[in-house]
Amino acid sequence: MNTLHSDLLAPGDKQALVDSLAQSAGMPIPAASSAAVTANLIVAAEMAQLLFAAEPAPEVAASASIFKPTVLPAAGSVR
Amino acid sequence: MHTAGTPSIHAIAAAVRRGEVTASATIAACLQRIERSNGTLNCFTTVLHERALQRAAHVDSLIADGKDPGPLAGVPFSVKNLFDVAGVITLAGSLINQSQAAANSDAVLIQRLEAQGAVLVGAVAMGEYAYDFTGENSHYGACRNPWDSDRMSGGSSSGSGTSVGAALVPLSLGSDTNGSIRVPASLCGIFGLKPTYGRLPRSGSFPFCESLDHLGPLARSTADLALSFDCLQGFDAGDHACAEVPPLRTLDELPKGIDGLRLARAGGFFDCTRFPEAQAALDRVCHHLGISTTLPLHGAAEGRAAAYLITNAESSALHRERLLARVDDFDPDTRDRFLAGSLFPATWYIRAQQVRRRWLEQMLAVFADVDVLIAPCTPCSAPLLGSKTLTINGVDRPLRPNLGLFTQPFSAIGLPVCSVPLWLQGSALPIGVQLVAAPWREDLCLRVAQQLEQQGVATCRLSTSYA
Repeated sequence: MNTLHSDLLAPGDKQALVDSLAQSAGMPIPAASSAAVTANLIVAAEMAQLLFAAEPAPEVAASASIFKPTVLPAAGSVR
Repeated sequence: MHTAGTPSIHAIAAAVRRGEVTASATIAACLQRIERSNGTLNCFTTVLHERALQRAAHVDSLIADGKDPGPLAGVPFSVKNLFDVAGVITLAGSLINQSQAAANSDAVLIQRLEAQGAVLVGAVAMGEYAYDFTGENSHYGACRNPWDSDRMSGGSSSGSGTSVGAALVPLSLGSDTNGSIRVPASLCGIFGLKPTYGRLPRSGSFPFCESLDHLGPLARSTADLALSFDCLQGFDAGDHACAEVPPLRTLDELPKGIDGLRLARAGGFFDCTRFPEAQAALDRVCHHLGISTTLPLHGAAEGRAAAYLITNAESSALHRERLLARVDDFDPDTRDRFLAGSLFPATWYIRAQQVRRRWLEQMLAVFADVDVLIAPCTPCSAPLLGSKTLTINGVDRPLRPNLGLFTQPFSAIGLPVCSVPLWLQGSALPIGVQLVAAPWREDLCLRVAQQLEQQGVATCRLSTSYA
């Protein structure tokens, strides 16, 4: 998925990949949105690529799959 | 302490409490200003004439009975239309929410301001479901910049920025997930405070991204920001993220100035040499504060990327049912981002949370040696409405996400940030600078803001077009 933005995928392949993801997520993409959704997904892929290039410290990688800042509590609901 | 001629919170409340003017007359004048200007600015989506005048009459009756109406006596304020207001539908900038029932009660922060004598006069515009930095909205039209109505107000708290920037009200409540208080504060030329994550309860507000949402005030001076912030604080069990921490009396701290504070300039990711206005604003602030230290702040780019993905994933999950049922009723600009966020792999989100945690630890280490960091707020002053791209390093990038380029890294980890307005020589538009402190130290941000205001560096100008 991180290669979504790369030249490895031709435009048609990118569209096929997005269609496949949409189908698996049960989220139909209107035809009018198709190009913009793909473009937004490419930006997200670039962000993800940056994150995977940055190696988190081992203890952080092990404990931080959910964000729980030490300064913050957690209980209850917003509304 | 205040810009001459500016209708400040302090001045209004003092006059009302002394009986020099009634709250009723103050609110009536405010409603007239809104009536005169809203056609041009398009910032109020609901004006609460009857409720506001009733509330003002109540404040006046307290004074007549010799009772103290509170430090915000007769002060009009607006709220972003994601705040619940009793009897009003909480639109959150959307068309879809129009089919919801009206709210049963006011959001907790509205209750707190009114308990101190303030008077809610209306709900104001915002980008759809807060996924916006521009102030544009396909359903309700663009909220206009008070300094040039052809330009963006910034978002997503667009109506908050414009209603305060145009001096229709001296105070507004907004929300900030990635920069939505600070971006409109920068583009509209006002002061904005995004408090520490967990400081102010979000009870009775429509969420955007659970783990990143903050609420906070926008005002026309540091002292007004501090006074309102002091009135807003306190634990509320209705928000699971609200912390049980002692209230901070920031107004009392302002006279301390910057003596003893360790200040540094944010470098690295925040190097804004490619954005001349942001660079000039930052240079000016650092010059006046005598700052010679620049810190690289390693991890900021990754922190920003983490915020981008977390926002996209959490907000898309929040809106999944609405996307499935009413996709054509979304603003196209937000719809396509929500749809994209519905599709990406879980590993991206998990990785983003890990990197976010590391970025927090990196910044907490920085604050062992520094009290307040100075950083650019927006890359530029208000763009023209309809602009779609921003040039970064010679490449045209989408404007919508990148107006918050410099604000996202700090909200990603919940740090308190005050945005202060500057007017560069020869410029007809303002631009903001961020003052960033360690968690729970809003007082330090505000002390630096106050210093800059007293030096005449940070200034909220009065627009004669609307006041």
